[in-house]
Amino acid sequence: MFQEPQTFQHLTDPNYGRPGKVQHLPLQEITRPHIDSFNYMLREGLVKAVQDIPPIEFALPNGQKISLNIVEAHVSSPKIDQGNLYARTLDVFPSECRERGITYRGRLQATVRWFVDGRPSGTDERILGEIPIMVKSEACNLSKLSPSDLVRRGEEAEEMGGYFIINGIERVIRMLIMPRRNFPNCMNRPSWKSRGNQYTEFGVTMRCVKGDQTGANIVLHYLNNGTANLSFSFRKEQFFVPIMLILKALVDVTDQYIYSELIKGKEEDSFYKGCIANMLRQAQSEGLSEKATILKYIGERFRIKLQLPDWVTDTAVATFLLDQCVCIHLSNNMEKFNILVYMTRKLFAFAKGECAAESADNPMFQEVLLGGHLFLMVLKEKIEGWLGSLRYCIERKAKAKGQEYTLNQASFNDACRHASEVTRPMEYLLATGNLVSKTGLGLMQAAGLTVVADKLNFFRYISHFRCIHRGAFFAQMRTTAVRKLLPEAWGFLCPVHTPDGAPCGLMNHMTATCQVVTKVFSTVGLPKLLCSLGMTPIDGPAPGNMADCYRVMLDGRILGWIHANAAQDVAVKLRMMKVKGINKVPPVLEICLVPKTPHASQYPGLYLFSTPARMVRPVKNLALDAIELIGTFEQVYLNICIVAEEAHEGLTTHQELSECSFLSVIASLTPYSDCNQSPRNIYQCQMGKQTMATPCHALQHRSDNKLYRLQTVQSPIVRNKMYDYYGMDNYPMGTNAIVAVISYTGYDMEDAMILNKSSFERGFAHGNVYKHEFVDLRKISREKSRISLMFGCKPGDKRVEGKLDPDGLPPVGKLLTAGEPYYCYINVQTGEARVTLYKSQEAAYVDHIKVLGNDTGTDEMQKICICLRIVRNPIIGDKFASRHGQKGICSQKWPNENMPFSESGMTPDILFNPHGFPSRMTIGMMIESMAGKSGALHGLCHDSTPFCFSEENPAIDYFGRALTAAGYNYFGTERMYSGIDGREFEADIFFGIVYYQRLRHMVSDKFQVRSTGPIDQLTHQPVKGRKKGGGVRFGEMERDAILSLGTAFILQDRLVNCSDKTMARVCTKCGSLLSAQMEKPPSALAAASFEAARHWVCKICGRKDSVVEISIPFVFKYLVAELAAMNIKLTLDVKPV
Amino acid sequence: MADLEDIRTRVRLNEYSLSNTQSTDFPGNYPDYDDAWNQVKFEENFRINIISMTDLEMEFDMVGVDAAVANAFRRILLAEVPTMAIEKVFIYNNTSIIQDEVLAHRLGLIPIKADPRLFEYRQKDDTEGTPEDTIELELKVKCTRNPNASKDATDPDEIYRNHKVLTKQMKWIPLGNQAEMFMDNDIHPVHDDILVAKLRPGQELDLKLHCVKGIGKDHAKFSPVATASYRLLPDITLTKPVVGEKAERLQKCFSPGVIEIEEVKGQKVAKVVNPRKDTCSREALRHDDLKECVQLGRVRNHFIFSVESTGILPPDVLVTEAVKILMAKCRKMLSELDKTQVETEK
Repeated sequence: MFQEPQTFQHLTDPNYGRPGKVQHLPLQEITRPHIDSFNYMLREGLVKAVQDIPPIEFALPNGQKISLNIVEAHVSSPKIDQGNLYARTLDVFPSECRERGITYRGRLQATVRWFVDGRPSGTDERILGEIPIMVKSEACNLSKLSPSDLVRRGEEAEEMGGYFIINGIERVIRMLIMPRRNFPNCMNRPSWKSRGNQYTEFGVTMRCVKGDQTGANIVLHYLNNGTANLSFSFRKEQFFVPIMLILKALVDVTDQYIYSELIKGKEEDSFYKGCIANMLRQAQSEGLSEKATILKYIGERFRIKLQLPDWVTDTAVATFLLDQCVCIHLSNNMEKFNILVYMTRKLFAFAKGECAAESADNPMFQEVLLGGHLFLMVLKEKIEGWLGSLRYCIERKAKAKGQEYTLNQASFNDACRHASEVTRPMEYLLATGNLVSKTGLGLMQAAGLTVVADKLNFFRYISHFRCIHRGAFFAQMRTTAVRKLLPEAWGFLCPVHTPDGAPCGLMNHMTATCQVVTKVFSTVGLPKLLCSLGMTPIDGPAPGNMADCYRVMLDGRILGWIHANAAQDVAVKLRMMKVKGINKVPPVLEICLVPKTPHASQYPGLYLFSTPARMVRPVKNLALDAIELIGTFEQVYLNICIVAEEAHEGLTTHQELSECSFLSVIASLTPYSDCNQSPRNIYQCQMGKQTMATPCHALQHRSDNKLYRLQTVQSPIVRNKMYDYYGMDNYPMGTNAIVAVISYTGYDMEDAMILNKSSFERGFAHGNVYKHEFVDLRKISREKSRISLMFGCKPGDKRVEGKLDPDGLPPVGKLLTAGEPYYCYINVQTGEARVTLYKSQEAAYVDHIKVLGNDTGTDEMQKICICLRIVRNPIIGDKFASRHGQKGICSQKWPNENMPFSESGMTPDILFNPHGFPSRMTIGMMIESMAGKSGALHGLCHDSTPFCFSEENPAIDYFGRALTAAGYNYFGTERMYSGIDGREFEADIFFGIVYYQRLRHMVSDKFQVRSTGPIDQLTHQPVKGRKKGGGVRFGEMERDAILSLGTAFILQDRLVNCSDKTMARVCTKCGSLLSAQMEKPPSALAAASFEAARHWVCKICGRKDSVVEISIPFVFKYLVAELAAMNIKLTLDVKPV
Repeated sequence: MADLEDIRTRVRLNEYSLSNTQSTDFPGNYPDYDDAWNQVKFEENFRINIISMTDLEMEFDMVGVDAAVANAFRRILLAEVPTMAIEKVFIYNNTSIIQDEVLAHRLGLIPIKADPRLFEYRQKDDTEGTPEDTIELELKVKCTRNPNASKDATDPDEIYRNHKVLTKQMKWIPLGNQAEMFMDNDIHPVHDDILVAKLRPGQELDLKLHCVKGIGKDHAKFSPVATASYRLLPDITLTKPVVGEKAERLQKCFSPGVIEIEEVKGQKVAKVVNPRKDTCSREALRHDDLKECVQLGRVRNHFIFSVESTGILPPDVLVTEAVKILMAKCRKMLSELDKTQVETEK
């Protein structure tokens, strides 16, 4: 299994650093689900959604019935107004949006048609607004550009896209876990009991999703009296209807037919038969037996809720309701009937304990809500909203004009001008992640739908696109069941890459190989194909005893029956066609044959899924020796081996493509992660995302708030295969540090580590922080149209002479310190110059300044962006970490001569305390140390992919031998001498090369000191917060500690003297703190301002001699005043000591 | 008695531990031994052998001193022998991609060939510098397109001129009477091919560099050595004859040249030839059959020094400088002691 060591092939390539002809595919795959789903939205999605919007119908005062609908809509790529005279091209590119802090958006155009009294009366093309465009989607101006063209446009050569640019900030739509669409799930939810009388915890739920990705949930509840009610929601309101009414309202069939459909194969079950008969009888007794009467009955009751025009009949209302709420994934009523029959059977089987519960927390029954799909759902609703606002505009005009108002082109245009637009709501969604929706879109959350794609380093950036969140709702849940790592998640969600702490297990990341289906495949031919394989159509004759048959379900549609004996064969044949791509079987078809077992297992059947948004992953099909994409549900019923040796003859059908295929992109980059204790790998996934590294290459073309950059980065000597696969050398993250594992001088206790001062002085872990600040003079002047402020300095202005350039801006390269002039602008009218000072306490260099224009190209020097560079070279208190979850704080920078030195005269860069190893068991780090050392000695880079070594061929032996070959100790240790006294150590020191990351947590951002400073207005106590110069809270626990030590002086110092000590006056006679008042001195007396001349009088006692001065905490005075306001008097008993 | 002698002079390398790392031969520790320091004895034992020497590297043995003394030399070499290095960079123009302070840091680390003994330390608050304490260098480079490059060329070396800023482009500007004092060849960067920065057409560097005298304690750039360190002389004894296959294996356990194999009566017999070359990896102790035949140790007062110069001064000069510095320190110490004596007498 072990592979030959590699060389630094990528780095030593003569073309390294030059943009290639095409982009690196593995990186593009990372954002694939985002981009493809957005492309789907642009192409089919929008068309389908627009078609699905029901026409808006209303009547004008003159009696005309108006109907408005949208025929077609499309999105164009981002462009500026044609009126711009200066632009070289009208295309807008993302880098401009980032630099200027604007939104990258394209126009949404729609064709609106209106009918008067049912006659088509006109169509018109309207612009509904501008919607954010996903970078690198088909509507993006970058979509087809080559790497060198991308660089020319101010992008990364390997730009992956997948995000939106909103006000200059890159935001990603989070992927969310959703219940698997179009599959009835039997679930046990105790909370359902409270839904009404007789309700039980048993139910079958289904999330039905239409072709345009909008979904609606239905639940079939089991009631204690042996009946079932269907619940569905309309505009966030829940409704319950007996299932029999729905069944009968859907199709016009006899009770006998319904009865026989429901009990097929369960003829023996007398209880079940009784229940069905009972439900049918109930419907009869209500007088509801015909389809027409039932529709009328339902229509009457729902009319008010649906708000349809008056002329729509009750029957039409009920039909509309069934269309919009019940099994919306199907358009045919007979199919709806069939699936509801299936649900009823499943529900009763479940309630009777004949089949097992299915869990919503199981990845088997989950899919992903993709960015593009969410975007489409929201956009559809906003377009509907636009249509609604159009109606409102027409109605308002008509109301004003009364009878004579008619709808024609002119009046329509007029109304359109006043209609709302979709620009702002869509931007709001992406900018805040908050969803404003009438229906709620079937989501469990309305906030946190988007996140900033933070470009801290490449790891963090990538993981935003691979992250799947379970939903904000579950974060509040007390139970931990949702966070559990289930075996079904194997290969789809990474077990390692999840944060520890609050979002643990809720925020997961897709594995490197996991994909999400975004393409919609046609399944028209599948029913026919299945029939040819041996399926009996649903309306055909039974293929034998129904009890021995499986139902065949495709995307929530019951296709037919299949005999248990033939089922396995059909599944195998179908799978063969899927892999080979014959008979138009989609390559992502999920074929799940759930067999009957003697136990109460999952409800049996042959379930097929072809819908998008499912997670799939490639594995090798052993029988066909080809790659097959399998889904989460399917995987449970497949037998997959990891390596060929463990395959069982006749049982194993599939094999993993690699042993690491269960790891996410980030987790698969941890070296020797198979040798580490598992939590350490989890920590590394977190720390990798907090590392200072190379955030991007297009630094000059960005205006991010804060960017961290490591100056001296290196390519790791020890790296996983995935490192080269993803071309991580373009964004290196750390330094190959020489690490000695030694407890030296005591400054390395408790995870502290010692840095070699000389290494630091030679550039070890040097870094900068880039900060961008926008200055918008229009915002300062609050002038929209004319220019009243201009950047510039007045000639001879003493304040800025030699400090700012004549254009009012600091010269590039200048070191700014607190209190120096930052920029200067002149009021054009008054000629007055205003200098703004640099406020931050941290000195910064001016890196570059961008002068920003506006869309029309007419604004001159109104908005600028100053990029500041803050030097952040390592100092004591900065955080470092190896790639094994071993973090530490730099506690000391020892001079080189104090460092221990080896036989060959080497001194380490980092001293790592050996106590870090025993409890953490990061053996991987030790192996890395040896591998790094031998790699450096032999001029190789070593492969550290997990599982490439085995018990028979252990890594330490391999590297031990490599070290011996270079004349070093087999165990990776070296003889060392103390740098301080020069004697040889009694112990051998483990000495090698470990790749170290510098984390972004730095003392410079965190230290907090205060002697005196701002205080709170009300209590006179120090304020909190580092930014405000506040203090650190000295709380109850700290107080207890000081009390227990008996150090009273410190206690008084902390709680009184350094806090809110005040001198107050109290009357010794009446004991009041509030009654002492200063006697007004005669106005003639100029000496009134002197303390000595002041006289204090107790207003109650009227005495001067009884007032004494005492020192108390100010809050006490405040308390007394508050109490007085409540009519409580507090008296003090004051005696001289 | 052999055991005691062993403890007194040898560090023992055992399979899992190390013993006698510290010198114990101080007066009164061992009966029948006179360990009091005595100059005659010291002079008798002390010697320095220079093993090899080039312009950049030197290896010499220092025998007959304690670790503390040897270490003092090592530490002084690393941190206290002064050199000249770029300390102030005056940036008149830098339009390259490399940031000003990073460029300045890089420049600082370039070793400058100039004899530090001929210069003074710069005064603390002096920013201008005088000819006695400052060397001024100039770096003025502008990158342009090569008009003669063929059209389809992609190699930056061909299409651009001056796209690599190298140390050889740094020019020495003599201050005051420096032009008379030094030859043109006396002051320049040690290496003329260090890449300082990369430029693209239109970018330029215009810098004035001030070199001052300093010591490694202040900043690593002033350190005159790449490294200076010592090791103890390995001592390998074979306690039993090692023959045949074992001998070959034993040879491989040590660095090349440590063990030779001789043919004695048609048998291969291992023999320790040059223990000095060993890296003390203790590989032999991992073999169960070999560890009984070999005893590893070190001579505690035999230091093999290796000094690698950065090229500013030859290593032998560095060592003599280090000796001078230690002497100056001792003199200082003695004079301080004298002072206290005078005070106590009073």
